[in-house]
Amino acid sequence: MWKLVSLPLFRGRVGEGVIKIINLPTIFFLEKRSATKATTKNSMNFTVLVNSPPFSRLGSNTAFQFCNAVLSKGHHIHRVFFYCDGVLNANNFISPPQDESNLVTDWQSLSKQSGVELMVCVAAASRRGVVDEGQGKNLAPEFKISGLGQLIESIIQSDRFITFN
Amino acid sequence: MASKKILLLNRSAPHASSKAQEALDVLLMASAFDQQITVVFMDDGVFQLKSNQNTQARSLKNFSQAFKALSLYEIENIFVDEDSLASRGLKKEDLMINVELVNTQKLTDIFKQQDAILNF
Repeated sequence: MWKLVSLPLFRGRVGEGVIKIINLPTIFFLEKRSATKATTKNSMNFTVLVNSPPFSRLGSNTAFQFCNAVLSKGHHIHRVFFYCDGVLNANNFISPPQDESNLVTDWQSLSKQSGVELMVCVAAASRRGVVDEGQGKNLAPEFKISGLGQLIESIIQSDRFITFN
Repeated sequence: MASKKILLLNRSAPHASSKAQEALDVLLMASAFDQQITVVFMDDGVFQLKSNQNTQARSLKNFSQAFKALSLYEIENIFVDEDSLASRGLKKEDLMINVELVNTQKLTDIFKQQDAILNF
């Protein structure tokens, strides 16, 4: 996202004889800002990497709890990236018994409520049968297929990065 | 884009899980972003660099060959935890590429310098 910002040319108090500023033109320039800017002064941008499958390991459950905690403290989550067995979190065919929680729908709700981007690595997903095309399409809504480059880009743009294995 | 210090921490044996192979894919992708990349092998991860790996009998891809090409990707900061290596009966000569052996203190320093650590 490009944002127009003004460039402060001089700093100093007028009238003290330090700097005289007469009709100084304001100079504007374009500054590259990260797509999701932190909202308050002390809040930070997070990227979360989930390598753990739902149900059979606790990692993605912990990641989900962590994301909620981060958001509740006023921070921002730039992107949750699903890699390795973590891509199974995007399998729409997952249907646990009624009295158990469903992480797939939990992630979807999180994305809808907080605008968190859910990205799934295409190579890891196709190796594990999570696809978004054709008759066997099983990529859950709100999840987006993308590549590892999006993970690296997100890490570069974020203040904090954390992996859940 | 600002340059960041990114560490790839390899702790998994090469073929027992997909971790090592998928970590390598992340490493090669990260190298394309002009960041300051460091790679550390520790625990069972040191087996990833064992020379003369042969995966034919198990019909597995021998991705270890790619480690020899890391210098082409300008990945030159490659460290191996000396304790992990020694406790598995391995020596520096058993590894397929030239690495720097580091002790726990040096490893701690390396970790502290990073902006992001990818743990596999």
